[in-house]
Parts: sequence; structure tokens; C-alpha cells
Amino acid sequence: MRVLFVDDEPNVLAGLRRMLRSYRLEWELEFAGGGEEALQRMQEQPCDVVVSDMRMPGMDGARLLSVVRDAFPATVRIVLSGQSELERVMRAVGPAHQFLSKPCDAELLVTTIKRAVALHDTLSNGDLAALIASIDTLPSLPGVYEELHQIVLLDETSIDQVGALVSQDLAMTAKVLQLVNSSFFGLPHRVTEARHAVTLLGLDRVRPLVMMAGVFCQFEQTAFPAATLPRLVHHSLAVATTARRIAEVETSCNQTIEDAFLAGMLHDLGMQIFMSQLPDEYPAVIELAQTKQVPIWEAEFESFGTNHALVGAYLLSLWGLPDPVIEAIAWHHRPGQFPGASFTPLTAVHVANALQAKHSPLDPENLITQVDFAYLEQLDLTHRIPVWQGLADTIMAEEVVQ
Amino acid sequence: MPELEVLQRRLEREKQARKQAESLLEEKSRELYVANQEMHHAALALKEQSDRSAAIVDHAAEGIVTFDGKGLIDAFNPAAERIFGVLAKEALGRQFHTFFNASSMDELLLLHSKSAEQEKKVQLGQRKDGSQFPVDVVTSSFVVQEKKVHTAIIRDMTKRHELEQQLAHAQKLESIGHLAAGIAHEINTPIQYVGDNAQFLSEAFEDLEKLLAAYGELEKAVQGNEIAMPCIEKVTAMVAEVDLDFLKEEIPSAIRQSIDGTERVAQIVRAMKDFAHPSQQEKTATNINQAIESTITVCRNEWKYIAELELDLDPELPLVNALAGELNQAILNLVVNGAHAIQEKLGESSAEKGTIRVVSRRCEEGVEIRISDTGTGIPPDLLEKIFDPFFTTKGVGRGTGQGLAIAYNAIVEKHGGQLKVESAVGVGTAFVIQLPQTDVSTSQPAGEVR
Repeated sequence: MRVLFVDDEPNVLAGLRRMLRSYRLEWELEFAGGGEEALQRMQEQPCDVVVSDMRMPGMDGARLLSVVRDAFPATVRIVLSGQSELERVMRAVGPAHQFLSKPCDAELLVTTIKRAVALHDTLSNGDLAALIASIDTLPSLPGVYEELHQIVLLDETSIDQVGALVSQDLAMTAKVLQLVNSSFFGLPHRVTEARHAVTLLGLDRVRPLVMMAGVFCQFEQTAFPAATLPRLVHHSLAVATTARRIAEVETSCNQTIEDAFLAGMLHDLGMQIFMSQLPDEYPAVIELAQTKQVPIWEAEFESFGTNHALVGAYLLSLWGLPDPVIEAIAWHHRPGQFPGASFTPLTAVHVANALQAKHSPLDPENLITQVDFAYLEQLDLTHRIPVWQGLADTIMAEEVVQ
Repeated sequence: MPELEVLQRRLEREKQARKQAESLLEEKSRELYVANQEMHHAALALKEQSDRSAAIVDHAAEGIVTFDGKGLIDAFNPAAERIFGVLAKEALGRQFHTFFNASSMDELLLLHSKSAEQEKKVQLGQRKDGSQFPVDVVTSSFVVQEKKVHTAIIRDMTKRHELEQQLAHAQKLESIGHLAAGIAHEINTPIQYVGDNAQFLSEAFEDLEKLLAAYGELEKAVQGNEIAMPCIEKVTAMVAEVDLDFLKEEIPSAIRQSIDGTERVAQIVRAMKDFAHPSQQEKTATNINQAIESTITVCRNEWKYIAELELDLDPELPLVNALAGELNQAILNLVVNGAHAIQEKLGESSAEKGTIRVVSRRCEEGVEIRISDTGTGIPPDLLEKIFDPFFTTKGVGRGTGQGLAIAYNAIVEKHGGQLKVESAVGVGTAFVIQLPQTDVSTSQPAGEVR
């Protein structure tokens, strides 16, 4: 793996080179003193990861990373900045996958790089990996997007209103969580709820985010029925709520409970990625699932060699979301593929997704989703299914009431 | 002509004359009536006007006071009562100057003597309870029936003064916050590489320990007259494994750069201490060169991507009696202003850099600091506005328009110095600070408002 570090301070580069000496056999390390030099290096030989400073004379980090995104989309782009003003770092919110702040210790730097590239191979589709890595932002529901644009400009808008709105949309939820969980914020706990993330950001920071190009955008594809996205959000919310309830009765670990909710919320994000990035190819896949009466993820696998679960997980891992969430999203159809000995967010999301009678909107209507009994058997949890079914039924009943 | 006829004619004339007289009388009395009516209306209008004038005077927010040539007050409106805490009946007949921090009318009027009739002046008012407050007084005089009447309009400036102080404070806080972010960046960079180097040194030491252990075995073998060859081979293998050449080359530079890094941090921290001078009230003997060096270190993050900074400091510079904190702030604002001007000229993220030059010299008055940049320059028609508070040509979020006003206030008002500007559009701008070297502690009243 080739990793390129870019910084205008030679001492920083020298320090990184020495610090990462023990990785000299695993990684090929490259160093460049500025944006122009970095691009030149990449033209000679592309890199898998670029770690760049933000403020540099000439081409700065934000510019460099956007050029890299366009010219070498598969490259993982990480900011390592000593900048303490969020506003400045925000310039790279679009083109950067992750943000690290100086001083950054060896361990964090190394694990960040490793995790960002970890899922690359599971995708087994290089073109698609590049396509996903080049995504700055995912399209949001038009109604939500427009309303957000309007209300952030009003003086009387409260942060709660903005948070409520953002949490109704998968793309915005993913984006604010990417930001708030970056090491730049330096929060001791990870944040898994969009409302909480928006509160932490505050209105003054959300406002420019909303107004800035390339952070949020509007879904404009007409290849899909208008109701598809709202139904996807609806399904995601139902799975998230069910997954959280299930986790609440199975564990007292708060982190697991919150991760279950977040993973539930984003478990079908990959569908949105396919819809926005492959609008010409994806309708045929949906049709294939219909004709064959198989789940959409199987049809995706047949057509693309991968599926929306892996694709969504890949993007979110590039964005630095926590591992248990990524795992739950990646394997939520086939939890048996990801061995584990205990209840995890993956268990919760898998079960919630299967027990929710309302399918994801792209699955064939009459298909019955099954829980993976072999997997639950392994965890010795099959006897809990009736309890979980009860929870799922209650949530569905609450929805009907609402 | 018969007598009768004569009489008749005479009678006719009489009648005629009478008629004429009557109609004349009628006409006159009608005129009189009309005149009377007009006078009545005029009187009413006059009364209304006078009532209105009185009402205006009574309800004005400003204190309105009139006094005669001897300074004796003959009118004192309710606002003036409020402002000075004195009833009109107490004020009437008193000397006008006793309401101010002036010991005589002459002294009070001296403040007005600079220009003729309408000179705006600010001084301290004095309330009944003795407390003083900033006031703004405008006087004018006119002549009524050959008597000179003076009118003073008095505005209580306490609120505005407070607001201005709050604003200045807020601006200071904002600039400190901005500065702190820049300093954090300046410190984070060396901390990053000092940490990385320390990590490397710790790993390198582990490697060296392994190598030393191999050498130890070799030493033992040689001492015990054993066959040394296997140990030598082990040492050679270990030298290759730990990449000894790399370590020999990198360890010294890792140590050197770490020392440089901590020195860099120490320098920034020292500069911050020098720069801040919290709540210094009294002027002290100040080393101007040191003030310049600390200030440019503290704000390095503001200019280093935009400009090369050249220093040309006169080592023979005398100490100057100054408020170091205020002076540093002024230098800071001028340097940052220069950086912004260069950035505006070169554009965002340009590979090219401009130049900021800071020169200190002795001059006739004392000490001169010249801060010049190769930025956009200031168009001649804007030159006289640049020191006005809130004047800015920068976009929203770039500047509050306070920077140069604060610099001006610090140099001119607080130090009795001069702040001049020379500029050519497209070439650059130079700000020249001149500070009098002699004791400048001509203390100004605490409530001074420019």
C-alpha cells in the first residue's frame, strides 16, 4: 500500500517518516512538501491514501484533495491539520474522507489509515470502489433539503428544528455524523444520533454547511418513483427504532444500543448510493429482483458483484464511522459471514430488518425475509425471537397510531 | 340762481359727502374688522408656536440650557434636570460652568474657543451628588434685542460611552479568539513532530538495545576466548535488521529537530506573555523592538502563508514610555492589515508571496515604526476614511472595520503619537507610527471620548 503525506513543514514530514519506520515493510511511504509536488508524485505513481495538511502556500489541502478526488477517485483522502478553527477545516468537508487534527499520535494515525482501506478489498469491484470514494455527498430528500435551506436562514429557527429535519434524511444524517465523529472534534464519546450531532455543531456551523456546495445536495434522479426515497427513510427509521429496542432488552451497553440505532438508520444507505451514482444501471437491477423474486441485494450481487450493504458500509468506513456500525451495515443480510460470539449491533440490525414487515422499498413486494437461524443459534439467541417479534409488532402498531 | 336751488344743491352735496363718508367709514370698519380678525389668528398662531417651542424644549431628550453673557442660567429644561439631577428652580441664576469640570466660565469657554460659534466639545458633567459623567455639549449664541443669548444643548454620553467600551472589549475578545486559533496552529505543528520524533527515538532505542545485546554476547565470547564468528554474524545480521545506518543518520536529526520544536513552542509562549500585558494601566519603559518581535511571532499564522516578513530593527533604539499591550495591539492590527492587503492582491492560495517590512528607527520626536506591505494599496479617496471606526472594504467575516481605528486610538489618543499612512494603489501601503520618546504621561480624563 502506498501512502503519501503532504505538509509544508519539512520537520513534520521528517517526524512522520521516522515515526512510521516500523511500517516500512508493510507500507510504501511517500512525502511531498506541497500540493503541486503531491500531484506530480501521484501522476508518476498513484497512491492508495493521501494524508494532507490543510494550510499550505500555493495549493492548499482542500484544493489538493479535490483535484485528487477527480483525478484519482479511488484514493482515500485524509486531512491532518493543525488548524483549530472548524470553519477553515470545513473547506475540506467535501473532498476529505476524514479529518485528523495535529497533534495526532502514531496509533490514531495508523488505525485511521488501516480502517479507511480495510473494506476496499471486500468490495471486489474496483470501478465501483473508485466511484464510491469519489462521492462528496449523497443526495437528500428534496422536501427536507428545501426546508432545511429555508429554515437555517431564519432568525427564529432553533437548533432542535434543524436536528429534527436532518434526522429525517439518511444522507444528511451520515454527513453530520461523519463530521462530528472526526478526531477534529475530539469528542470523548462517539455520537450516533443526528439530532445530537447537530446540537454539537451548533447553528452557526450548520448554517454554512447547509449553504456550502458539496455538503448536502438534493436528489434529482427521475429514474425512480418519487415515493422511493421517502419510503426508504421510513423503512430505515422503523428498522433503527426496532434495532434499538431489541438492543435495549439484550444489553446494558449504551454504546451497543446507540450503534444499533445508527446502523439501523443507515443500513440501506447503499441503495441511495446506487440510485444516485448508477441511475442508468440500477433500474434494471430492481427489475431483475422483481422477475426472479429474490431480495434486491442478491440481484445487485448478480449485476455488480457487490451489494448495497457493502457499498454503504464502504462509504461510511471511508468517512470514519465506528467499526461496529460499519460491520452491522455491511453484513446485515448475511450476519453469518461475520463471525461473532455475542450480541452486537449487527445482531440487532439483522433481526430488526427481518422482523419489520415493511420491506425496503426496492425488494419485491411479496418476498418474505427470514432471520438467519443458524447465526442466532450460534449466539444461542433463537429463544429470544418471540420477544423481539413482540417489540417489532409494538413499534409497527405505534406507527399505525401515529 | 334762486336761493332754493343753491340750498338744494348744497344739500345734495352734503348728502353726497355724507354718503361717501359713510361708505368710507363702512369700508374702514370692515378693514378694521378684517385686520382685527387677522390679528386674532396671528395671536393664536403665535401662542401655538410658542407652546410648541416650549413643548419641544420640555420634551427634548437633550438638556437645553440658556445663559446670558455673564454665564448666569435663565432657562433649564426638564431633560437638563434629569441629566444633572438638579431642579430648574435650583439651577436658574447659577453659573453655567458649575455644572461641568471647569473652575470658571472662561475655562469652560476655552474649550469652545478653537472655532467660532459651533464647536462640538466633550467634557465631564457634574451631577448634584458630585458624580461626574461624560457629556457632549454644543453651544451657540445669538443676539436678541441687542442682548447676547447663549444656548447649550447637552447630551448625556454615559450610555454611549458604555456601549463603545463594550464594543471595544468585544472586538478585543474576538481578535484574541482569532489569535488564539492561529497560535494553536503554530504550536500544534512543532508538537506534532516533537511527538513523532520521541516515538521514533523510543523505537530506535529498542532497536539499539537489541544490537547492544548482540555486541554484549560478542564481548563475552571474545573475553571467554570462545569462537567469536557466530556472534559476529549475529551482530552483522542485527546491524542490517535495525538498519543501523538509518538510525545513525536519523537519531541526531530527530533529537535536533525535537529541540528546535520545543524551542519554537517556548518562543511562541514567551511571545504570548510579552504580547498580552493584561490590564496594564500605567505606561512603562518599553523595548519597541521586542514588542515588534513578540507581536509578529504571535500573529505568524496570519501572515506566513501570504508574505515574507522582513525585519529591520535599529539596535540602538531607546526605550519608550508606553502601554505595551496597546502598542502591541496597534502593531498587530497594522501587520494583519498588511497581510490582508497582500492576500487581496495575490488572491486566495496563491503560490506567490508578498512582503511585509517592519522597520524601527530613531526620529526627531522619538521612535518611528514603519510597517509596509506590497498589497493592493489604498485609493486616495479612501485614505482619510481608513481610521474611522467600522470603515472596511473587506467582505463580511473578514474584518469588522475596527482594526485601524483601534491602532489609531492606541497610537494617537493613548500615546500622543502619530499614525500616518502612505499608499499607492497596486504598489502597497506603509503605516508610520511615531512615538514621542519623552515622558508622554499627559494623563487624560478617565471618561474621555473621542
